[in-house]
Order: sequence, then C-alpha cells, then structure tokens
Amino acid sequence: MTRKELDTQRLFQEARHESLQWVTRRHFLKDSITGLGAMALGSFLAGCDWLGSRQTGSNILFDSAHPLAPKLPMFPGKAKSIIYLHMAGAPSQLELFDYKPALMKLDGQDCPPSLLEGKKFAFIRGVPKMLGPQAKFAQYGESRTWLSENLPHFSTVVDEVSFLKAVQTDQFNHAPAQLLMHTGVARLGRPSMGAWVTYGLGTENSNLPGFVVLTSGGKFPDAGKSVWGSGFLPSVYQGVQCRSEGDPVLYIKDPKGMDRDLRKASIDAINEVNKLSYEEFKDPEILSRISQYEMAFRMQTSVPDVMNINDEPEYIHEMYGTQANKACFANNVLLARKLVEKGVRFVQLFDWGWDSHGSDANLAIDIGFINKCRSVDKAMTALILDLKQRGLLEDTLVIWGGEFGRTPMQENREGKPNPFKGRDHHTEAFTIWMAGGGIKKGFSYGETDEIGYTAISGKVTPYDIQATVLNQLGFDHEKFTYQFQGRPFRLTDVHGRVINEILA
Amino acid sequence: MLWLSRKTAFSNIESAVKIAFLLGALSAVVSCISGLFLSANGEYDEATLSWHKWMGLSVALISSICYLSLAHLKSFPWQSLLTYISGSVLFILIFVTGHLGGTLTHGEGFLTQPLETIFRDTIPKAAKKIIRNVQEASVYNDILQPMFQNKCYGCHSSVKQKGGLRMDSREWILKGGKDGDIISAGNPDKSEIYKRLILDPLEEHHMPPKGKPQLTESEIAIIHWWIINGSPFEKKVKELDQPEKMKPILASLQSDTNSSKGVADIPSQKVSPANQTALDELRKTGAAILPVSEGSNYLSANIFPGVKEGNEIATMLEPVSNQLIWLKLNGINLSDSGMRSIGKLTSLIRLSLDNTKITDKGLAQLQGLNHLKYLNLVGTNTSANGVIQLKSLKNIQSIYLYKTKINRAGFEEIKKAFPTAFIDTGGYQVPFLATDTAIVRQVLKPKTGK
Repeated sequence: MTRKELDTQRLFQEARHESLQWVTRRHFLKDSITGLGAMALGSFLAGCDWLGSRQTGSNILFDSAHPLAPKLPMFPGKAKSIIYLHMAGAPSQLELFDYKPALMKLDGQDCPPSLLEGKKFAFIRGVPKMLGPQAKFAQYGESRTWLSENLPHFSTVVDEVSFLKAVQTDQFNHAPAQLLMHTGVARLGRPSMGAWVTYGLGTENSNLPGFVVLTSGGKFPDAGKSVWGSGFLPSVYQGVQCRSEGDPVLYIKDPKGMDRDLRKASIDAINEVNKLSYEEFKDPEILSRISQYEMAFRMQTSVPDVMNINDEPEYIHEMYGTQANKACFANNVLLARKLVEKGVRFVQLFDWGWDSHGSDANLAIDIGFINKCRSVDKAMTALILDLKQRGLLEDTLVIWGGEFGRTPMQENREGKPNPFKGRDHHTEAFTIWMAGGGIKKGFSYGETDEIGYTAISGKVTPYDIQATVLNQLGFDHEKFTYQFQGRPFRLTDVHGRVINEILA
Repeated sequence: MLWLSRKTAFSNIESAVKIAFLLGALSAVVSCISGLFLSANGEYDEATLSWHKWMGLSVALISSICYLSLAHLKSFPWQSLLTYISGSVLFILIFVTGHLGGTLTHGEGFLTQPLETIFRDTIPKAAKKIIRNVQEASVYNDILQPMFQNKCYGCHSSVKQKGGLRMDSREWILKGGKDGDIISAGNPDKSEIYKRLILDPLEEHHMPPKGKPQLTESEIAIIHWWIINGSPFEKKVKELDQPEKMKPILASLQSDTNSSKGVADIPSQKVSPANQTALDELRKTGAAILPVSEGSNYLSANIFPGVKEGNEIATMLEPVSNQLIWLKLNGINLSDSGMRSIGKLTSLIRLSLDNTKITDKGLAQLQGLNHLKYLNLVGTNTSANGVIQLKSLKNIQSIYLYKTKINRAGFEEIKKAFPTAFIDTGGYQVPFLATDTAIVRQVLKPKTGK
C-alpha cells in the first residue's frame, strides 16, 4: 500500500467519523421507528390472552421464591403421580408380550431382502437369520392376553394393564433413544418428563423432592443423567437421584462434630448472606438457592425416614422379593411405592442390563435375558397389587418399557452370527405397558405384522406416550410450554397425540 | 403510485405506473376467462358467484380504461380526472371482488370464522356422545354421524358441497358426489369414500385434504367395517359381524363417565371461590390445598403429618366445605373426634382416611357425604358394620379396606350393601416361585462336527 493510498484511507475514516458525530439519538429513533414499533406491538400482543387460556409465552409457573410450591394443572387430571419403570437396554418384546407363532416357522432361515433393503441396524450386517420366539406363550386373565412364560407373576395382573403393542421410535442407539423417550428430543439439552411435571405441578409434600430417580442393574442408563435432567428449565426441577443402599442421598448425614443446631445456624447464616446479595442483584436464582438450602435441611430429617424400606413389614418385603442391603430393582420398586404414598409426584426407575444382543451369556435371549425377567417380574407385579390394595392405583400411573424394541432376526455382528442367541436394536415395533391413573384395564392397543417386524395399526410414538402422561396429570401437551431462546418449548415439540384409545 | 408520481420526489416511478396498470389490466382479463371456465362446474354458491362474475368483468374493463387513459389519451383535456376516477373505482372493485372470490373458495364468513374461533376457543363440533354400551349403540347415529360432522361437514354439508357431495344425512350420502356413489355396500375397496381415506395423504385426492384434521386409524377402520357390513344406517353395533380386530376399537368408544376421557369427574355446577383466609391458614400448616385445575374453584387437599393435630386441621377445613371435593388425610393424627368436621364436608367426592386412628364411631359421621365416590379406609380400625352404616351413600364406586378388622364374612356383607361398588380388602400375595431366585446359566455344549 502506497503512502498515498494510506492517506486516502485515513481521510475516508476521518470523514466517516465526522459524519457519525452528526447522527443523534433522534436520527436513530427516526430511522428505526418501524422496527421499534413492531417490537412494541409484538410485546403488546403477547401480553394479550388471545386464546383465553394459559399464557403460553411466559414462564408464569416459575416462582423463584417458591419454585417447588404445589401448582394446579390445566384441567383435573386422573393421575396424581407417575412411576416410570424403564428397562434400560430395551427388553425384547418378542420374548415377553408380542406373540408371533409365524416367526417360529421362519426360525433359522435367511432374512428376506425386503426386510433389509434401505434399513439400518445398529449391528446387523449382510443377511442375518430369522430367530423364532425363544419363550413359550399362553393366554392369561379375562382379557385373554398373550404373555410369555418369562413373566409368570405378571400373568396374574394382565387384567389391570393396557398394552401398547405398536410403539415406534426413530432412534436405534440407546442414548438418543432414551433421551427421545424421556425428553422428547434425541439430543442433549431438553428437560425430562419428570422435570416438566415438577415444573408444572410442584411438589405436594414440601419435605420431599417432587421428582426422584432410582437406578439398579449396576450401571446408569447409557444417556447418563441427562435423562432426568432439567434441560433449560430452572435446575430445581431436575430429578433427585436417590440410592437404595447406604445413605439414600449422598452426604445427607451431618458430618462428625456437626450437630443439628450448628447445621441450622450455618444454613441460616448462608441464607442471610444470600438474601443480602439478592437485595443487591435481584437475581431470582438466588431466591431459588435459598429455598433449596431450606429444603435440603428439611430433607435431612424427612428423607432417611421415607427412603428407608426396612420399616415395611416382612410380608411386603416377601411380596416384592426385596434383597436386604442391596441396590436392586425390587428394593427400588418398593421404595417407589412408599414415595408415591408420601406425595412424591414422579418416580423414575432405571434398571440396566436388557440389551440382549447375544454377544455373551449375560446378553443371551435364552440365558441372561431370562434372569433379568426373573429379577423384575415379582416386584413389578407386587407394585401393581400393592398400589391397588392401598387405593393408590386409581391415581398412580405406572409405565413399563424400554427405549426401543428388538429385531425378529438374530444378530450377526460384523456379518458373523453371535456366539449366543440375541436380537439387535429395532425401532419399528416394541411394547410398553401402562396401568392405573385412568388407563383402561385388560386392554391392548396396536398390532404388529405376523413376524413382529413392524407396527401395522395403532402406531404410537414416544411423543404420544409423553402427551398421554401429561394428559393424565391434567396438562394439554400442546399448551404446556416454557419460553426459552425466543420461543415457547413443549415436551412433545411439534408432535404427539394423546392415546385416547387406552384411556378409561 | 399514481398519486405519488405527481410529487416531485417520486417522479421517477411514473413510467412504472403505466406498466403496473398494463399488467393489472391484462391479468384481470386472463382471470376473468379462467374464472368463467371454473364457474362452469357449478360447485359454488350461485348468488355470490354472479356478483363475483360481474364485478370481475368490471375490474377488467375499468383497469383497461385506466391504462388507456394514462398511456394514450395524453392530449385529452379530462385525462387526469378520468384516470383518478377510474383508478378509485377500480380500487374499491378489486377489494370487493377479491373478498367475494375468497368467500367462494373458503366458504361464507371465512374472514370472521377464525376470529370467532379465537374468541370462543372452540370450533363448532359434534357434542361428544356418551356411549355407555357400545353394543347397543347405533352404528350411524352414534358413531359415524358425529365422526362425519367433526371431520367432513366443513366441506360436505349445507355450507359447502365440494365435489358435489353432501354428507349431512343418509339421503345425501347415498346420493353421492359428482363422480357418482361414494359407497359400494359390502365392498370398501370399491367405495370412493374409503379409497380416498387410505390414499397417501400427499395425494391430491386424499380426504380430508392436507392441513385439515385427519381421521384416525380407528375411525378409518370403523368406516371399513361399516361398509363391509353393507353400510347400514339403522342397525346397532351388536347386529353387525365383529371380527376380532374390531373388538378393541369398538370397545374404546365406550365410556363410563360423563367427563371426557382422561379428565377426572368434578361437579358441573359452578361454585364460588373459597374463603381466602381459611385457605391461608391451612397452607401455613403445610397442607397442599389447591383448586383442582385452572379456572375451577373446587379444591383438592393433601394434608401431611405435620405441626398441627389432625383433628385441629379437620376443623380448619369446615369453612371450605362447599369447595373441597378431594381430600387426602393419610397417616395424620386424626381420630373420631375430628370426624365430626369431616362429616360436614358434604361436597367430598374422594376421601382418603388411610392409616388414621378413626373407628366405626367416626365413620358414622360420614353418612351425609352424598357425593362420595372413593373412600379409602386402609389401615384403620374399622369393621364391616362401620362401613355398612354408609350404605345410604349411593354414589360410592370404590372402597378400600385393606388392613382393617374386616374378615371374609364381613366383606360379603359389605358387597351386599354396596352392590355396584368395587370393594377391595387387599391382602394380595405374590407367591414365591422356585424360578424367582433360580439363575439360568450357560449350558456348555460339547463341540460338534469339525
């Protein structure tokens, strides 16, 4: 660049600065009058209650000083609480609920190309063999429901349950599929169903959290803690993970040398400081923090009491098949019943170990899978009966299912048959059941083709299940929103239909 | 634009004005011609159509005059006046003709209807029919007609007859549309109505059209089943052949309650708001007491063991007796003396007294709770006689009596006293099976073959 060019450039810059000096605030306002006017109009309109119902654009349900105070639903729902039993890894519907005798005849034959063309599987490559049902089926109850021998206890309560036999998802890997099932989106960052419910209804028992998570099976679900996270909702609505072994909540006991009064005094002091900073900054999250400290203090006494299943009588322990001092599904289920009885809104259970690929004995459909079934059958049956005899099943909705289904083909990882009998992940058909909370008894909705490959009628998506759960609690899933990043968000996003067919 | 072009600041758009008028006039002529062809098929309302036709023709005529006067009558003395007058007339004409055209395609009142919906929050829909016993229901009147009204009448009724079809009575349905019959009795695959329902939704002929509320799978299945059975208008469900597949679909139409599905029963009559001071006092005790839903004054209360005695809280509930319909008192320190107050809560529909200290004496106080549907006495010291005292409560639907003093004989007596209610004395067991704890292990097979 020559000196002359540099000079010219400077001259231009100076001229520009000079001219900008003359632009006043009036110029700015005059030039942007339409834009500002439109913005103002927008906020006036948003303030109006156009549809005569809940103001969708505003987060009116979040009261930062009392984030967990009980709140009312949009309409009187039939369910007051939810117990969601998630079998992480996805149990095979073909060995439990979806009886396909025709598949038996194809056992061991090559899978026809029409079932493979244009399809993607997690592990199946090339041409796999078909795998017939690895369990005997029979009909049970007045509803004549087909059920496999893997769930002998559950066969006694099929008349209390509605089966959704044609659930479909679009995610064939565990983590995204679990996220889709619980947060409505296959990616991270959205609030879970329990968080939405807690945001909408708060918690009735002010000494306990509204959303409790219990895990068993030795591992967390693949999607990690995000499946019970609060996403963009205020963090107080995330699931509180509790343990059925040792302290129910980590660090719930006061450390040695700290007595109850000293604890109270220190929390009071911390809150005093927090109140000062609230007065200075007026950040509502500080109020949330204060109420959380207070709740934590109350929980120190209330939680060990409720979370302790040892005070249940022996015959209840036998009914559930609990195992003393162990973290297991049966203990968690019994705890779930206790929590619901005490007014906890949403109890989410995850039981890991259902990923029956056939890659080792524990994941074989005729070995490890049967053991998994035995570890849950008694407890889930007991849960239904116990809720029923306590008069709680009428307003407690129990949901049981995985994140997807399993293929009618035998898995052949990398094109070679797996050492054990197993099935790959499958998105096109699986079964979920619901009971109580205003759901039909002894009913079955949806149908798969004769080999259980794909749903042919009564198709249901994770969004539909979420819409139904919200509906039973008294929320219209299309109007229940939270304003975030400039638009109202829903649990079901733009999808979902309440499954009216299974509602009583 | 015409007016603007006279201002010096905008004189440069003057030439554009001419082109705009020319294009406007040409397109008006073209639309007139295509409009005449379209009107020939006679799907539209006659009166509106003739107005639209004549006004459309005038638009074409006057816009041509406008252009001519602007472009070729420069020397004519009244040129500027003529242009202004014809321009203004044209403006009004286009406005009115456009609206009439809209009315023709979208139906009468198409502008005001969406506004009405916004303000009323409802679209005119068939009132939900309660089918208590689906087998006794009339296939057409109870099942199909409401379905048609909700999903088809918008375009196929007295308001509009798209494709010449009306569906708002038996006669019209049998008459069919301009392409002939829509139903071929006994043969759904040859019935136009069914064929169009199952077409790919993206196809032009799919019904209902894209963007309109679609029929659900079960609704389509019902139509299929109705046609296969010869599309009868007078028959009841039980008179038709019911394949296994139809049973759950038909059963799902049945509903036991007046409330819509998934919504709990609450009284339909309105009630005044509850006394605020009484509510505040109750909330101070840690009770969760709230309206059952938005816009309702009826209350639901869940009271936890806490600072106050149960009997004291029971007294505090009396001022809200008109509003309180659901009450949970499980596990609180409530005894017979508190039951006098509970007995005054005459609006109650659901009452949970489980694990309280009440006895038969306290139960006697509940005889006035005529609306009661749900009563939970689990874990209380009550006996069969105590429960039978309440047999005058005709609305009771379920009574839970697990862990009470009631034995088998008492249970039978209670069943007699409440013949229609569900009585549960619990005590369910899940027996121990040998397989519960047995573990299946891998069987090591001897190696076979090569």
